[in-house]
Amino acid sequence: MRAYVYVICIMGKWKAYSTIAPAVDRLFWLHESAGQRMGRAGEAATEGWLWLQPLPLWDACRAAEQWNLERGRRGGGRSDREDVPCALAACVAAACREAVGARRSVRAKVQQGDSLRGGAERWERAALAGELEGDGAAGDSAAAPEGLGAAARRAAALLKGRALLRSEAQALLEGAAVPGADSGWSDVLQLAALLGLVRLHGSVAASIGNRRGLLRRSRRELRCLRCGSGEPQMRRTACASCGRECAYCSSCIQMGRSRECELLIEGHRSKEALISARQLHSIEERLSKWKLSPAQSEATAKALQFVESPSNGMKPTATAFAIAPIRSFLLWAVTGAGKTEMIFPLMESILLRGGKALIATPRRDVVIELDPRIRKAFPTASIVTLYGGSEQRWERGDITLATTHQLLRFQQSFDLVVIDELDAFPYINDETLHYAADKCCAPSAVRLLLSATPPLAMQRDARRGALPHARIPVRYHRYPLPVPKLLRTPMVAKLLQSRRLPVSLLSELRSSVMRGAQLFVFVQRIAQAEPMADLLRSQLRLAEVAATSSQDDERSNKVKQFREGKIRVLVTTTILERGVTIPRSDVYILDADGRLFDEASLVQMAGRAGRSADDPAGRVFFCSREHSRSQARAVSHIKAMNRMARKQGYLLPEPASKEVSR
Amino acid sequence: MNITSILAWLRRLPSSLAEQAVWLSARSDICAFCRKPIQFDNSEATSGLKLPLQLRQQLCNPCLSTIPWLTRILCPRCGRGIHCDDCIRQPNRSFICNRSAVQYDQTMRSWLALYKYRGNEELAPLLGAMLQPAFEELSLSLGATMKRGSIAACWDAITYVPVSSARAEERGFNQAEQLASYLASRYHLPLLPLLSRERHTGKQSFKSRSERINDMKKIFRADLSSISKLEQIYGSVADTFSRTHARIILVDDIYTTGSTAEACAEELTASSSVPLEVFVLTWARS
Repeated sequence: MRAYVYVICIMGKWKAYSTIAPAVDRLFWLHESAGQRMGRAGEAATEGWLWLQPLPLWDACRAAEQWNLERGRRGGGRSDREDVPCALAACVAAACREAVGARRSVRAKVQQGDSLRGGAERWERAALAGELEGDGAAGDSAAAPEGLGAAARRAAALLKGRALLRSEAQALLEGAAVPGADSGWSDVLQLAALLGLVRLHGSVAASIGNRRGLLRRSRRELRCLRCGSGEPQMRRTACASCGRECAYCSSCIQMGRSRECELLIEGHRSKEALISARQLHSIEERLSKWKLSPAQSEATAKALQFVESPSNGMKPTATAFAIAPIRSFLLWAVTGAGKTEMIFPLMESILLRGGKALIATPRRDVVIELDPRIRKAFPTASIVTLYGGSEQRWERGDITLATTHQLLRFQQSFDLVVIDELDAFPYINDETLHYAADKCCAPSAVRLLLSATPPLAMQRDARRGALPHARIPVRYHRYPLPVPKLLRTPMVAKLLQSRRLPVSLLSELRSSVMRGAQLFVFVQRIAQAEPMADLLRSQLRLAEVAATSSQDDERSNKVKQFREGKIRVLVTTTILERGVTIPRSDVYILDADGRLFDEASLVQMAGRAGRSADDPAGRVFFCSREHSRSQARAVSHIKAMNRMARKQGYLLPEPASKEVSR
Repeated sequence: MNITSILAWLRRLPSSLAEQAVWLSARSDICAFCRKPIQFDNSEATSGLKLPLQLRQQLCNPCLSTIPWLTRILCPRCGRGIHCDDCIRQPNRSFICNRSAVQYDQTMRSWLALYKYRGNEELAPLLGAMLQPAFEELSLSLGATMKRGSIAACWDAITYVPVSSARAEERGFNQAEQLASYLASRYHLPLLPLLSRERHTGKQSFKSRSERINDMKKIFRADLSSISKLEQIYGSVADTFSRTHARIILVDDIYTTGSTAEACAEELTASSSVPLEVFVLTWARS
C-alpha cells in the first residue's frame, strides 16, 4: 500500500510523520478542539505541509525519518516558510532514491524536479477552524472525533501485544465490531498510532548502507520484521500495490505475505508491573496442592524461585520497544518426568501476580491434547488455544496455548513463556522461530525451556552455570528409565527384500506381544513404514498392525486407535518420537544406526517405553547392523540419568525391576 | 551485417542466455509445492509427456505425477477433456479456441491458491512452465514446428486478461500477466497489454453461471496504443507469412464458462482495424 508524509510545526519546531489517513492527521494536529476530542494531549500545531503524492509505505516512513534526523542534527531550529516544502521534497526524493537504489538516481532526480513545485499542500489552522461545524458530513472522521478516538482506543486495546499484518488486524477489528473497522479502518489505526498506542510501519524494512555491493552501490539490507528473516529469504517482485519493485518474505509466507509495502501493526502493551511475589503464599504451601513427586517438587521449587525473583532489568525502559533481557530457565527432565504438571505451579504464580502465560509447542496435536488438561488445572482462567485453523484466532486470554508458528503474531505479550520440546524438529535450523520466541516475551519476562534432550550448547551452558536450570533425572513414578538393548539385525531394506525377520528380533517381538504390550516400531523412511507393517503382520500372525507417517492423512485417527489399544503394533517414523504416551509399550528402533536417528531422537523414542507406574519396565531395542556412536551416547545418557536419580535418592527403595541392575 | 541485425541480436542475447542458465541453475532440494525433499531418480513420473526442465528440477515425483494434464481433448472449441454442452449451447464465440494445460482439480486448486492468494510469486515460473506443453501443442496445430523461432513466427503477440486496479493493489500482481510474460520471454513473443479492466467485479468463484455471463458485459476496454502496436507488428509480417489475420494468444489462469475469454476476445476484435484471430490459453480448465 501507499502512504503519505507530512511535516507540522508545533511551537516553532518542525516534525515529520508518515500517515495512511492524512485527513485524520490534519484534524488531530491542527484543529484545536477536534484534535483534543480525539485525544491529543499537547499543543495544536500552527501549520503544516502534506506531500500530496502517495509514496510506497517504506519510502514515506523513510522520508519522515530522514526529515527528523536532519532536524535533530540541526537542533530543530526554525526554518523560514519557503524552505519547508523544498526541504520536504528533498527528503522524499532522497527516500525514493534510496528505495530504488542509486542506479536509478537519474530518474528520481527528474521526478524531484517535476514535483518540487506544487508537490506539497499547505495545512493551515485558519482554514480548518470552520470546517467541522460547517461541513460536518465531509467524512466519517471529521464527523465524530470522539467516536473515532474511542474506536482507536478500543482497537489499540485489542491489538495490545500483537504484531499483525493489515488483513489480520482488519479481521480482528471486524470480528470485535469496532466501529469503522470495515471501511474506515485506516482512520482508526492511524489515530491509534498518533495516540502512541500502536506502531505502523512496513512489514519488511531496510537498514541502510552498511554493505556496498558491486559498483559501490550501497545495498539496502532488508529484514522481515515479523519473522526476522534476512536478505536471503527476500524475493523482489514488481508490486502493483505500491508501484515499485518491492520485496516479500518467503520464509513466513504461510502466515500471510509480509512485504515492504504491507502494513505491520504492532500494539504496545501498557506496562503494568506484576504484583510482587511477596504477597503470595510461601512456595511450599502453593506447591503442596499439585501433588508432585519429590523430584518434581524440588525442581519446580527451584524454577519458582527463579520466576519470582525480581529481575535486574525491572526499571522501566525509555521506549516501549527497547529490548529487555529475557531470562531463561531450563527444565531438563527425562521423558515421562511429568513436565506438564511441573509448569502448572509456575503458571499459577504468574497468573496470581496478574501476568499472562504462554505455552508454545511445536506440534498441533500436542496443543489440542494439552488444552483439556490446562482447562482442568485452571478452571477459572481464560484459555486460548491457537493453531492453524483455530477458532479462537483473535481471542485473548490469561493462558495462551499455541503452536510455535503462531508466536509470530505476538509482540512483547507474555510474562511467562514456556517453550516445550525446544530441541524438536521445527526449532532446529529455523531462526524465525527463535526470533518469534524472543519477540513474544514481555520486557523482563521469564522463558521456561523444557527438554529431555537439550542441544549440546545448552547442556554446556547449563553445566557451566551460565544457564539457570533444574534437572529431573527420574520419572514421576520413580522407577528408572528402561535401558535400551542392542540387537544386531540386517538393514530394513534387506529385511523387506527377503521378507523375513531375523530369529533374534522375531522372538523378542513375540515375547513383547505375549506379555500384552503395544509395540512402537520405528523406521527411517516413510516409504518403509507400510511394507514393514505388512511384513510384521505376516510374521507375527497379528492383524492389528498399522503404519503411519507424516504423509498419512489418517495419522491422528491411527494414533487414537493405538491409544485405545485397537492397534497393537504401530510402525512409524520419527514423527511419533514425542508426545504419544501408551501405558504398556515396548519400543523397537530399526536401522538405529541410520543418519536420521541422532542421540536426542533415540532417547526420545526410547522414552516411549515404561511410561506408566503399572508397567515401568518397558523394553527398548536398538536394532541395527552396527552400533553407532549415537546409540552409545543415547544408552550412556539414559544410564547417567538413572545413576543420578539413584544417587539423589529419587528412585523407589526396592529395585522393582531387572532393569535396575543393568 | 548491418546495424539493425546486430541490435536485434543484442536484444535477443539476454533472454537466450537466461534460457541456457536454466540448465546451470541449482536443482532445488525441496519441492516447490509440497515443500518435501525431492528424491532425484531416473524413473520419470510422467505420462509420456516431455516436461519442461524447470518442472522436473523443482517438483518432486509424487507432485509431478499428480498433475492432471489435459492431453486428451474432446471439445475442440474449449479444450475440455469431456463432452461439452457449453460449446453446443453457444456455437458463436469471438475466439477461435481455448486450450488449457491441466484439469482444475483439488490439487491444482491448492497450487493456484498458494500462488494467487498466498502470494508466493516464486511459483509463477513453474505455473508458466506448466503452460508450455499446451502452448506448444497449440502452435504445432497451427503449422509451427519445434524449430527455434518457428513458434514465435506463428504468433503476432501474446496478451493476458487484465485485473482491475483495485484487485491489483490488493494482490500486488496479475497472475495472468505473469504467466503471459513467462511465455513471452521463453518463446520470444511480443507481450502487449491489449486490454484494461474497467470495473471491479466480485470474485468469480462465488457466482452462478448466468451471473458470470451477465457480469462480463462491457468490463474490458482495449488499450488503443497497444492495439496500434499490434497492427504495426502484423503489418510488418503479414506478407512474409501470408496470413489473413493477426493472430494473438490470450492468457488467463482459469477457464470455466469462457465468459471472461469471450468478453476479452469480443472487445479485441471489435477495436482492432485488422482482422484478428484470438486463441485462448489457460492454465486450468474447470
